[in-house]
Amino acid sequence: MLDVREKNYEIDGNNLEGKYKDWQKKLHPDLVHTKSEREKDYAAEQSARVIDAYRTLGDMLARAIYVLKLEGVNIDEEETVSEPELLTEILEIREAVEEAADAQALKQIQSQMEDKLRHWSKSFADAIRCRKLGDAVISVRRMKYYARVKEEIFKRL
Amino acid sequence: MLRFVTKKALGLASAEAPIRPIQILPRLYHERVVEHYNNPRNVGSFDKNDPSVGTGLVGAPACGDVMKLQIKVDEETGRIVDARFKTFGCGSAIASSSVATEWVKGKQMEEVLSIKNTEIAKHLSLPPVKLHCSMLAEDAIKAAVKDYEAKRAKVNGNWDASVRAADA
Repeated sequence: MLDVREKNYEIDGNNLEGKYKDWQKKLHPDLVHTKSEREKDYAAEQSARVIDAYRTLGDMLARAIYVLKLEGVNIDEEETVSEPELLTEILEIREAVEEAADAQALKQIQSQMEDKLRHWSKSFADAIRCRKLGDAVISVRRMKYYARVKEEIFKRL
Repeated sequence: MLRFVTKKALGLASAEAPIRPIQILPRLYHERVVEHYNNPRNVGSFDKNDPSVGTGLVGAPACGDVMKLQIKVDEETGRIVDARFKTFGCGSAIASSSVATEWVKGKQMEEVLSIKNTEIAKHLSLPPVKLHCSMLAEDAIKAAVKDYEAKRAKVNGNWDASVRAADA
């Protein structure tokens, strides 16, 4: 629908928004008054799907997970990992979040997490381009952990 | 309630029909989970460089959880004398690891390897969607034992390790 079939992870931000607006012009419920019931229902359903697609594609992590799914890998299947380096790092970061003295300290960690997300998002894109699924999975796992830390910080702010 | 309404609609309800009390919504977490969450046992850390300590560090990337479970072993008897945990995750994950540290205390290392996630889940009445939290705890126990044995093998040399493997 929004050209993800090419599995092109690096979507141009402007292009995506332009396409989103075009689709909504055609499908938005407010713009289909004069159409028949069936057409209205179809438009409402498709409009919701477009919003969903836009949100998924607009979010680095959700997009990466989706692209992996297209490759047949489901990162959301519950499995235990024991990557000592990553887990030790995450443990330390989560502890720092818990012990953070004030909002300032939390925001600092949050911005570190955003940097890491950007870095691993790029690693993911590289891995996908070179068809290195193993590396892609490693990148997404990391992104998932950093995103989780961001969630915790958000709750505390 | 539907029956009452339809009865009324059909003019069949008697004037003295009692109103049923509103049912209390089932709790989202079993009280044992709440108990472990509010009063977690054995939170903390041992020095992971201590030769009598085994550290299990596991994670569930699907939800971004991380669980650290440590055991302190009596080197003479192979009995676990103390345990600590640190878990960052949902209430069920925290409760599962708390239960795990309670259950491993006083047991032999070989014994704790047979602790099953289903037992932990049953003890906490975990819903199916949270079963993986108990699995994480089971994996953490195994990882802690494995770590301790690996440290012992390094210290005592390969000969000792192969003797222990034969005994297991």
